[in-house]
Amino acid sequence: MSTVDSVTAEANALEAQFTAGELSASEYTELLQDLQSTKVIEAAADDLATLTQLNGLIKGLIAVASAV
Amino acid sequence: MVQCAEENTRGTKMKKLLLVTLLSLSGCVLIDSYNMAHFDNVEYMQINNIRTVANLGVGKCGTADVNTVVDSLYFSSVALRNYSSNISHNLATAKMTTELVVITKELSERYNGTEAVSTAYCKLKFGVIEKNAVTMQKVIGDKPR
Repeated sequence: MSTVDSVTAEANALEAQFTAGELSASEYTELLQDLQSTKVIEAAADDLATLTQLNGLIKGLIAVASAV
Repeated sequence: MVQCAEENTRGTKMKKLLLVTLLSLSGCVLIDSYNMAHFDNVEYMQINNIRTVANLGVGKCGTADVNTVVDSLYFSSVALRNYSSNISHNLATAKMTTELVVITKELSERYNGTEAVSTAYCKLKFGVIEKNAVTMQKVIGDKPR
């Protein structure tokens, strides 16, 4: 499932709960905003994962180059 | 003599490979990744605590005990943000922890406000916090040692 599809599915699930009266309007709005916050966290997590991979690569290359 | 010449050739190839790899990366990314903040036990413990409290706290939704859990989550997320944001070369982690505070602050404000809070909201909110804590824990735990 793509990112857009998964966000749409989550938003639809929230809308269903709101329509069923399980969530107030302000709670519904807040939970929709949380979907955006979750995307911000996931993007930063991807950045951190990339930096970690690069860090390993660079240190590995330096170790190999110094051993030769 | 022959062995020395082979080793020199291999050494030159390795240096070329290193140079090509380094040149193919942008300078800033290279420096950021080389200098990035390493694994930190305290940071990892704090995000694990938030994850666990959110995981167990969802069972308290709809009871009076949930207020204590909400306060604990907000306190822990602010503590983690304050801790991570002052570590050098830790921008991505600071960004995640800052956003987590936004989520827990809303929860805290709602429970400390005058309007009634629905059980459905409580369960969904704890789910959001736990999901994000799991995402963060994985990358924080993978930081270089």
